[in-house]
Amino acid sequence: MNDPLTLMLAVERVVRPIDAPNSTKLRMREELYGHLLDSAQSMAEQGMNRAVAEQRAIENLGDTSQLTNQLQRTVPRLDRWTAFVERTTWKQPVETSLHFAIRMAGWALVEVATAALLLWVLKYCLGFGHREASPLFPLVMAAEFVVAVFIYALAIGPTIALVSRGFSARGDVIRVVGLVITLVVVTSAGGALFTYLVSTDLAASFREAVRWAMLGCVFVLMMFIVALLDWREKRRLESWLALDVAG
Amino acid sequence: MSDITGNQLRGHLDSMILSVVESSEAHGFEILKRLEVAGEGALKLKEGSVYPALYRLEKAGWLKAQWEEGESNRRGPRRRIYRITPKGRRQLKTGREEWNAFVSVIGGILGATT
Repeated sequence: MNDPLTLMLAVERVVRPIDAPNSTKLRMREELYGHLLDSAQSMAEQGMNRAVAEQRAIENLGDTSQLTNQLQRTVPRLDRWTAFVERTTWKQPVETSLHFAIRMAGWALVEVATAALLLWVLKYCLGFGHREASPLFPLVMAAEFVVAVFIYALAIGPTIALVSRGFSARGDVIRVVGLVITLVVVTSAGGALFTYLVSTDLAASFREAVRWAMLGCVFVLMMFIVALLDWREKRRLESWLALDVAG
Repeated sequence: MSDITGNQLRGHLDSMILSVVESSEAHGFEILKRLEVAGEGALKLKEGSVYPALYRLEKAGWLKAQWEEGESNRRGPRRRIYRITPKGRRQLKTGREEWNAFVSVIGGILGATT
């Protein structure tokens, strides 16, 4: 009997171990799966039993681990870093929302603590004066910006996972509105907390907190645009990630 | 003619792929079929090895790939269509020149008729 899962499993065994971004691996999956379908179809048209044709197509593809290694060598080094960031900051297929939220909160805590410490050391070296007066002010600003973006990125993932689960039974519109409000609150609070942690000039803290909160709102908007663009790809990935290649 | 397998093909697969897409664009399975036809049945490729080669060629800028557009009658995922670039054509020309030089030298040593 024709079972598309047989071919998909064969492809997944090749592609899953590859260290590459999701988009690259999805391209590999779709190409190899399409190849196996064409190959099996071609043999079936010549009179071969469909199940036998599928098995033959898989065999003709070659040794699984050898092909995995060959494909891995085509992945640029920079893409492996992207894959690392994806693994760290995105929810894994086998991970529960709660586990993901806790994991990301842990990462965020480490990030905030490290950033606060580094910036405190930097300000200590600059003499705790008004930051704007320092010749290194642009450098400090740039460092703060990068750190803030990291914190926002890490905070947004678990918030989406938890809030989305909380609003899951209430329809898409309420879900999206709930997500946007929560994310704006989280990033604003994160911006204010970040400012409080790194600022030595409390009079200026409020203005800075507002500035970081605004940055947070812009970042949330960007994340939503990226998520919307990414949505179709994620839907296509789901059927692959659900496969149990060990079975 | 005896079969030509993976080890003997090493180093030539890239040029062979460029050669079969020189005349018209094709997807992975079609490229493999063209190689088999051009090899007159003597070419024994592990089919999967075509894809790492295609990605390599794409990365080098010798091939350009894009997803098949529009609805096709075929069941299954979209196909990725590969076509040769001007840079790829230059590389193919170089590959052919190198191959002819190689055959000429080795042929002379082995006493083959070329």
